[in-house]
Amino acid sequence: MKITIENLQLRYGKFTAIDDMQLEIGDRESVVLLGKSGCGKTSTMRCIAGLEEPTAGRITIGDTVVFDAEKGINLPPNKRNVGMVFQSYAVWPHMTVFQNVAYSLKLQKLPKDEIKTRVMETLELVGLEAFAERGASLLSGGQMQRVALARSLVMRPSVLLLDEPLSNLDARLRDRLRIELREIQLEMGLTTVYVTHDQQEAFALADRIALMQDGIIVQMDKPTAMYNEPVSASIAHFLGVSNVLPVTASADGDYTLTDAPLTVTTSQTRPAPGAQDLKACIRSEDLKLARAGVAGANSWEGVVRVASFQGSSIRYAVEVGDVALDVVAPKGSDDFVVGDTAWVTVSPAAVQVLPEAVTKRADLTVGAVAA
Amino acid sequence: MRIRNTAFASIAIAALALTGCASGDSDSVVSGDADVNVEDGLVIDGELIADKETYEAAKEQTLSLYTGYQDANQKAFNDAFTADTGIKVEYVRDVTNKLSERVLSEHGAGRLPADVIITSDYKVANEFGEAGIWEPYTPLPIEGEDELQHDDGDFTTFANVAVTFAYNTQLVSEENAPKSWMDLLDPANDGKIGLTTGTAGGSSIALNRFIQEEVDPDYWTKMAALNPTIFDSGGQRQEALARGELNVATAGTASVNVAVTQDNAPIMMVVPEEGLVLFSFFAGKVADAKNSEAAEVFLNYALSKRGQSAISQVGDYAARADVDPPVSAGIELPPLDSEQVWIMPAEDELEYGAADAEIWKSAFGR
Amino acid sequence: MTYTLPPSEQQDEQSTRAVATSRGVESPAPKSRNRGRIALKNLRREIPSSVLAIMFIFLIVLPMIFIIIAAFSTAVPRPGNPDVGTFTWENFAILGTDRGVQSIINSMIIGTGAGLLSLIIGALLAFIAARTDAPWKRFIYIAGIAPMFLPALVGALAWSILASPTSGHLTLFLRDIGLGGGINIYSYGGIIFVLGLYYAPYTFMLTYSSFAMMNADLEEAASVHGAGLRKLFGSVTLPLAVPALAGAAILSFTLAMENFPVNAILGNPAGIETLPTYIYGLMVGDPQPNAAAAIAIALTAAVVIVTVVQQRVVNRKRFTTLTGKGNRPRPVPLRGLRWVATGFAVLYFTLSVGMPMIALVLTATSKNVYINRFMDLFEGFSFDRIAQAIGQSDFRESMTNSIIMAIAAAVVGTLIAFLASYVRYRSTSRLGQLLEQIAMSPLAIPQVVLGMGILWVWLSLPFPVYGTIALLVIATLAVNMPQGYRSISSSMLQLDGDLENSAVMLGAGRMRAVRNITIPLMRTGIVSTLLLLLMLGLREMSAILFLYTSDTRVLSILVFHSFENGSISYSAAISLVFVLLIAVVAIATQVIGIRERKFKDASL
Ligand SMILES: Nc1ncnc2c1ncn2[C@@H]1O[C@H](COP(=O)(O)OP(=O)(O)OP(=O)(O)O)[C@@H](O)[C@H]1O
Ligand SMILES: [Mg+2]
Repeated sequence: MKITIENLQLRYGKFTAIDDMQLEIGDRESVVLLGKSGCGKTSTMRCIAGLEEPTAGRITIGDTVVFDAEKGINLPPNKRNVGMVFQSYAVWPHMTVFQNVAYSLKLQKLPKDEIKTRVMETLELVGLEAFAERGASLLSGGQMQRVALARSLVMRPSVLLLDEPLSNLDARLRDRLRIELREIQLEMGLTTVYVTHDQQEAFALADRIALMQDGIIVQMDKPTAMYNEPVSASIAHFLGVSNVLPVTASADGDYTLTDAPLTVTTSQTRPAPGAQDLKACIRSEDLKLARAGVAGANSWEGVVRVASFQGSSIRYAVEVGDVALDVVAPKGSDDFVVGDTAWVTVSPAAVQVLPEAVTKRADLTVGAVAA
Repeated sequence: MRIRNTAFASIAIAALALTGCASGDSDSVVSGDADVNVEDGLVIDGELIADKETYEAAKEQTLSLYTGYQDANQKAFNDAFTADTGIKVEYVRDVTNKLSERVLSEHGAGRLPADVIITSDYKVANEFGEAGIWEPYTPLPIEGEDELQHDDGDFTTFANVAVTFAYNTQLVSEENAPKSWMDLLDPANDGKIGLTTGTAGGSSIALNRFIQEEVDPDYWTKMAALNPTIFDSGGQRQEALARGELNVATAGTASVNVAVTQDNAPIMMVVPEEGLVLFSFFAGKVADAKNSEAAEVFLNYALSKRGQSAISQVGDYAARADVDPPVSAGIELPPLDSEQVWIMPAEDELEYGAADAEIWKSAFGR
Repeated sequence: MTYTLPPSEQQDEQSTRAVATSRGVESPAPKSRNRGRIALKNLRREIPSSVLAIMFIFLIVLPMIFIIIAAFSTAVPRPGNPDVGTFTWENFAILGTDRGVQSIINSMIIGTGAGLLSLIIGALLAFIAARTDAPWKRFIYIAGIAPMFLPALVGALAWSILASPTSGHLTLFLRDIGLGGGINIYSYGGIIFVLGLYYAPYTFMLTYSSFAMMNADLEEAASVHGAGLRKLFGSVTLPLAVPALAGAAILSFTLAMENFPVNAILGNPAGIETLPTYIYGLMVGDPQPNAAAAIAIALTAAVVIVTVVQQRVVNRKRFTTLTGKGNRPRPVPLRGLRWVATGFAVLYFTLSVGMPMIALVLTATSKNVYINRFMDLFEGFSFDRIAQAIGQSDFRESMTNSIIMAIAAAVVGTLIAFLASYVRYRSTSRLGQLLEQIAMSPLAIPQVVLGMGILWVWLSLPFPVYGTIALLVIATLAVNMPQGYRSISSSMLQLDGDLENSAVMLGAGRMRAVRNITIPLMRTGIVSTLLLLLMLGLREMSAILFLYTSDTRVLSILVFHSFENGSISYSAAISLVFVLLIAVVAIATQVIGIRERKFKDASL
């Protein structure tokens, strides 16, 4: 089912949680909403689900307009055939696991046998078949999350909304369920909207990622594009770029660090001339350390202030002028120690100069269906 | 847990049912078999209470009565009425002012359910008349006896209640007991006198008038000098007297009777030399009463010899002088026409009520 | 039972509001081309809240309007009243009379005294029970709340039997053992003592949790830094509890000030008149209803001011100490004072429950009701009087009425409170907050006053409600609305709204989701609200003082009535049964409360 969101606005009193949002999610597409806590991810989902009443805009699911502020349309949640896994699990403690999962099927008045097979199948899928008769209040956090997941899957919704459904699981289980979720989604042809804080999860699950900031979608792209070409420094920072350095454009087309008399060169697309509030964004693994300086651009002398061992790599804090750079170098034979002088270099291709934030909304088109 | 809760409820209900079964009302207060004859209408002890036609209609009805008369007494009277006539009574009892508020409101809204109203306050009864609540009716047994009828037959004196004073028998010996209203002013009673508020209610109106007319216009001022305690209710006043916090207190004969016979209260009432003070209760038929015939039968019965002696038996004075006076706390009270009985002339209330209350108020600084 | 507005939610709103302004995101309001349909949709959304609003208008708003009208008019609002009345300030003149001034002063003295006394007793007991190593802790807790099921009316009655100046049981006992008299319950001291005694459980409950949940780390930090026990108490523990203490003190001040039965029973023989008894006199004795309304407004104004102050104090410092993180606070070692502390609880229990109950039993059963010497009480006993009392038809009627009224008011009250709380916390209705304020407002309206307004409203409305038990139910509903609403709301706030939402997402309709999920999950909260309202309904007296009639009397009124009619032994006998009935409900409430706590512990 295709979901179209047009001019959506949601206000709590005077506070605007979602501002003029445009979003199209294709049939069978998996979109991941990514963003800082409080940026409006849950609110967006609740609007799609029908649990919040937006102050303006229109939402269409498939061919049905489920919400239209101007026409006064607001389909209640139970008429939208949308499944939702809540951030707070919302597992009913006064029922058993089985009863929790069977609830929607009972509402559909399916025969008992069918309910039983479908519930047990789904419980197996989430690895809870042994807990069917357990009271739901006696489950661990991760188990509850899985019950919530099973409960939504069992009703075979056309759209599934998942609000951090795996946040409470241990790493191994999370990896497994993540893969399974993706399989289920593809297999059942579900359209899903997925919220997570975990980039790895986002990259693994998404056909496209929508990045939200302060109630606005600032970028929407395929995972690789998002990773390689963030549109702003704050997005880059959010996606794990640890060196975000304020720079000013100099006359020759290069950039000067604001906090140190150093020049930075980039071979990437440059922001339009006259753009303000620019940042040079460099991933820590793209920075190289050497004992001696290298001729050419982007080579700076500094002092190692911190060195911390991370297994296969070592993370350094290198002070260059007044700027501390975060450098991750593979562990080798010639490691630096605190106090050493070190030359930091970076290829111009690995430097992105971006504006701090984009005020313009992302131009969002229908995404391709995952192959 | 759901089961538990219903269990609680059912215990409560069972307890209720239990008390309901265990009770059985105490024997009727009014004794003596009446000679009831229903061959041609209703005749009790030789007096015609209702002609045949009226009685036939009334028997099918349930009388609705609003009354300000003492609850226990009204109940006993109603029981006697139902036993003698077979007509059921549903009644609502309330203090005068609340009752009048209710009657006026319900009448104003056009849904006054009462067929008969009994009140102790002439002013209130008079107001009812102005509001068009009464329908004049003269009870058959007292046809021609005008002094019991008021406001052109709108309502009739029904009973008289006596007010006097009583003393604590442990604090005051019988020979030292006060014998007259003036005796109360004995300095030995300083701080040991109990009164009730003298600003409202049939008893205080009557007592105020009596004091002005028969005792001493300055009586209340003299009384105030002895620092009496002024109670809101007669019950509290009598309780204080019985507990020995007071030497003497004004009192109603009926409630002294109850306290002495039921709780062995160490109190005794006095028939003062200047007299007992009587104030009247008035009964009348409501205009457009739904149970008009039952109302007429009730009023006829109330003023019959039988009905009047029922009142005397519950401890109050009858309205008719040809009925025996009541006996209270072992004392046979003087007859209605005795020198020692002073009855508040009903119509005087309008003339003196407010002024007397002002005298009382200024004497006690209220 | 606590008496402040639900605080947590307000806090949240404030913090979001703060975020909103700091971020300053402002968007234009939605343009509305299709106003009509949107209006219709909004209207539909407001249906439940409108139903509630109408109920609240009849229960609470109209009565207050009638009081205000009566206070400024020359006539009482009543159908068929020939003169409609004109505007006047005259009625307020009564406040300037000697009697008026004296009543105000008396109310202030009694309110302040009883407020302080109940604060001292309640808070001290709460501290001992919550934070010390005194023995018999469970008993101390029970002693702290047990007097709840003795209505102040019965307490006053019992204490008038115990300590009247000449022949009170206690007075005589002390005199007979040579300790001289000097006790007089009919005095300012006596009234303050009894009110303080019977309102202490409210302060106990309000302060107990704040003592129990206070963060022990703070205290420990202080003691690590070498503070002695006394200093620790003075510098850390007490200041931390100040908001709760202030709230409790002010609550019991207002309760004592607006109390009717105690002031009537103990104040009248002493000639001490307070505002509520003055109002009663002006309504029933010497009828000047307009003047009564004027006094009512003065009393309400006083209580409103004090209540507003209370809410300020309690809400200003939302205790950061109340984290409830399960850290057991360190019991304060009392050393030599351990048994003194327990002794204090025993003494309180004896004075508030033990002696009064014994006095009632003796008065109801002893051969000699009126005695000269203490030992005369024991000359012979008989249960005839109790049997006779409960055998009488008016007792049976009153008991039936009490039970019917309390059950009806509890069921309907719980329903309304649930609906109001749902509208406030679960719906998008704009009326939610306003409804909450109205639901809580009876806290600031003296019960006698609200009862008076209800009388006039229902006398004037064209429904034949006056004189029926329905009117008593209405009044009881109105005065206990805040307690019911508080109780349900605290339970609703603990329940994540998404529990219900997820049922809707799975295809259930809203009503069905409420039925399948919300109600079962709030079951304990609903049941304990029901029982709380049941108990309060059984005790109710002040609000229905002007509303009952001879055939709609309830037990509390019957006790008061039979006392006014002068039969103390009969009053004592009825009181005993009355207290027993309330005790059953009170114990049920506690049992459910304990179960709920256990249930919660298990699910954590
Ligand atoms: N009922 C509400 N009333 C007022 N403000 C609200 C309400 N619900 C959410 N908000 C505010 O709206 C904003 C967006 O909330 P939302 O729950 O969508 O955030 P989120 O992106 O899901 O955050 P997280 O990652 O922490 O779950 C937040 O600032 C939140 O405080
Ligand atoms: Mg969220």
